Amino acid sequence: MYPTIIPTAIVPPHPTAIDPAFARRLISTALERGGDYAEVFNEYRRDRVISVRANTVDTATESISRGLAIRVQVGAATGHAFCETDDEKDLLNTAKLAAQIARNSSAGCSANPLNINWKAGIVPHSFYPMVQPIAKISVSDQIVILKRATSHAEQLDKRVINISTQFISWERWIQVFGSDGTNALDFQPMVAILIRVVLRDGDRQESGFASRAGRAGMEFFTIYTPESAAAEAVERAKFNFIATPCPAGTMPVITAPGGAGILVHEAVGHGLEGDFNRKGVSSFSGQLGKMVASELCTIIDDGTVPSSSGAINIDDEGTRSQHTILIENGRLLNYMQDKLNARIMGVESTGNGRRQSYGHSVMPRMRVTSMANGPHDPEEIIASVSKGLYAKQFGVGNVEIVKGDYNFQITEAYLIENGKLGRPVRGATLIGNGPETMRTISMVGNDLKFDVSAIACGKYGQRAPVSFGTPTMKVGNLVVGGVA
Amino acid sequence: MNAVATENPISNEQALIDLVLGKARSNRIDAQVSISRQEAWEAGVVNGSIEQLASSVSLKLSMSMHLPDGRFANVSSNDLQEASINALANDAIAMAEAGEADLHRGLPPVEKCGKAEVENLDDKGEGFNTERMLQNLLDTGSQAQSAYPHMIGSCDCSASRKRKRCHLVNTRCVDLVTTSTDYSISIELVAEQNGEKQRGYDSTRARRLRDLRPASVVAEIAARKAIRGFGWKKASSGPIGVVLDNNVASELIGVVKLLADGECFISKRSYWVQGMGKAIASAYITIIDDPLVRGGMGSRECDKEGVQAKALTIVERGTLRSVMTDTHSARKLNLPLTGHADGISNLILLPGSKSQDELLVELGTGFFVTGIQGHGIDITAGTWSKGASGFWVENGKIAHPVQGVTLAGKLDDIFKGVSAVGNDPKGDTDTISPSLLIPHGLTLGGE
Repeated sequence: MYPTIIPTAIVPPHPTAIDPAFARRLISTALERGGDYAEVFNEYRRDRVISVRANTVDTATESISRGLAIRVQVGAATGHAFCETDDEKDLLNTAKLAAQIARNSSAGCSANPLNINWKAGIVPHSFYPMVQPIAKISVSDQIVILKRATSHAEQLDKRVINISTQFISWERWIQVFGSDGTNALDFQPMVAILIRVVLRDGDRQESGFASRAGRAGMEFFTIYTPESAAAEAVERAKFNFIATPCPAGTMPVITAPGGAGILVHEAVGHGLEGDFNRKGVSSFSGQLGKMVASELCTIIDDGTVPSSSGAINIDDEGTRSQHTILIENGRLLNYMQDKLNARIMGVESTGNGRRQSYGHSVMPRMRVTSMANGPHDPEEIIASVSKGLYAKQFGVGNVEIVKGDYNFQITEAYLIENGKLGRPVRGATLIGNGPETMRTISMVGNDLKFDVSAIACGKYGQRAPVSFGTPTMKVGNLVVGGVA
Repeated sequence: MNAVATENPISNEQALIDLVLGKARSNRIDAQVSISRQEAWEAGVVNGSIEQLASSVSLKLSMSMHLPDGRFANVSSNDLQEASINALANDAIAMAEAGEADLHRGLPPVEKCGKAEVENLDDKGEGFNTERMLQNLLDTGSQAQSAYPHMIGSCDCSASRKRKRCHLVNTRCVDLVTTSTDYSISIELVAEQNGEKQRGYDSTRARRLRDLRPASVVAEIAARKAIRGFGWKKASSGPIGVVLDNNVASELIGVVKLLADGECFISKRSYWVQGMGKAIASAYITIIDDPLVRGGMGSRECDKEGVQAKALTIVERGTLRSVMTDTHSARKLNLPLTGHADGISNLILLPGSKSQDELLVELGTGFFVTGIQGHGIDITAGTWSKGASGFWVENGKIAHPVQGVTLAGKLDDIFKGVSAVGNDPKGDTDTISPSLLIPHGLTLGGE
């Protein structure tokens, strides 16, 4: 991934920061009716999107969103209110609204706002130092990046009839004060490029899509160049012209390294989120300490991967990010936790408490989810299958966590015949059952790769930037949704 | 806790409008500004206890600046202090100036702007009481659990209420105020039997509180859905005839949002680009987009450009008639401006005369699909591939539940393969279809 952590990164100050004394007043007001925990979350975010289509600037947008949210927790219940002004009266009223969750509760106030000892403030080490500030990226700079991608795509194949590109960037500041002494601040940058191309050959049209995203400034594009994204999008479209229909039915699947992280994310990731397991509704509920996967599987959720789009320095409750081992050699060790679910389950937060914005609730969300390297050589894995499917590139997926049935898209695949890659086959949906898939992973390669595309995970209507990675894996039988 | 009424303008609303439009006029450019205020209330009850209570008021100002040669920029902010909006307006003009000329861009023609008459979009929050709604959720949850005590392991009930006011003004003197309300109740149940778990979900949404279905009815349907999946089997791979129930059919037609979208036509992303005026579906299929449905979830008086809403026939007895456009795509494609800057309103596949049972009898043997999962749609190549669940049908009757399979096919074959349309459209979403019989064109992926 990103080669060096640069010690003196640029951290622009939070535009609407509040001081700890006022945060203490808000927390006191929020706990007037009692509660186990109260928190002030102060966010400022600036988003920009420029799009270039058919080599012409198409749209330019910018949005600013600021707000301060207050939450009060009593047992498993959370009251949440927010305010979008600086007005002291409005903010104190917001605290009173959040406090209403405690109005029927006989629980006392186990939190004592007058005695809060604030812990250390600014996180000293950032996993995503920004070198060339996003705020200084002009509209012209962004257009240059997009036109580089466009020109490169045009040159690669004469059949290209349309190229649509987007440059997305955002700067997000968060400040968190908690009645447990949390006092934390983070600046979270993001840059991304998206490109979609359409090719026509005779009366057939195919499209290809590619993206790159990371937490960095403009320097991101010197490593992950717009030309490389353009080339990938064109390759995706070209592949669709030569691929034949995918078969339909159950068969062993081998997944290439990197993008197959979508399988880990859907098959086991969501099922290990703490809220589902606290409520006992996940297919992995009640399984802590037990074998839930083959011994080859070690699954990690890590917020500390440098500059990854899924990295966080702190979560949105101010808990330090972690490298969390969820499953080790097949045994379930940890769920991903936020403060409330951790408190109820009698464990510590793992730093997975995230929210799309101050206007949304906090829940356990993934960061960078991966399968650790295994002992096998990738060539050996492919050679072990006489008839099956090799899935090379992937799209999105989702999961029903109660039964554990998950699905994901493949966009490039090859039939495996007698241990060798054969006929290319075009996109299809693959489905499986999470616990069953984890038990039947029978070979894991030594070629772990992380995905660098723009990935957003959706849960209860909230989007969170995440990432993932895997080595080559032999997954066992999945149902392939083809037509042949 | 009762939400504050949203009837009135925010305190400095006119000052902000005057600031933005004044700056545009003094730069001799066009502009549009809209200011919105939304109050929201949400509650969640899990296994008989309140777990979530949230209330909020949010404000937003959006503006677009349009130079005479078509260069433009859109910006928005919820920091509504005049100094901040002044700086934002200057940024918007600078961003527009850095763009490129495009004579297809600009404000819509004034004669197309206005508010259509649409009923039942806003009940002004009358009759809503948060304590009563909370008690309703608590009672519903405990009733569902006592009705099926050995089967329902977990019960999650939630409700929400939103009220929004939006004031849109542009430099051509279009000045429109719209208000709307939106209510929902959703219930998710987990049933357990012999160590196996199944999930059931149902919801109700409406523009007016009185039009919501009772929570007890929603819970009953969710419980039945949770229980009916026990004893599921897979099915064999191969070509299959299907009946899609109205929920699944309503999700299927959602693909028309992009297939008939003006911007997708400009990018040549949609395979319908080559289908204008041609048969792209069976003669049983007529699809309209109608923003004027009384109390419709997608209904609106105008779009976000201020273009007055009106109904549009997109597919007429199988022939592609129209594309959904905004000002830019209408000019670029040289097609009528249809007022779809916000996308679809209520996308409706018109019902036929057959009941769902009659469709199953016509199917004979095949797959009755009641759930689809995944995102497997390519609108350029026109392919469709999803996870699927439902029931095996033998001789027109339901035999046993089916899960863990896929369905795939070409959208062209699916739309042209519809041989009968049901009389049971699903009402409370923005894509509405009755059940559909498709005897050929799909392949099942299973054992």
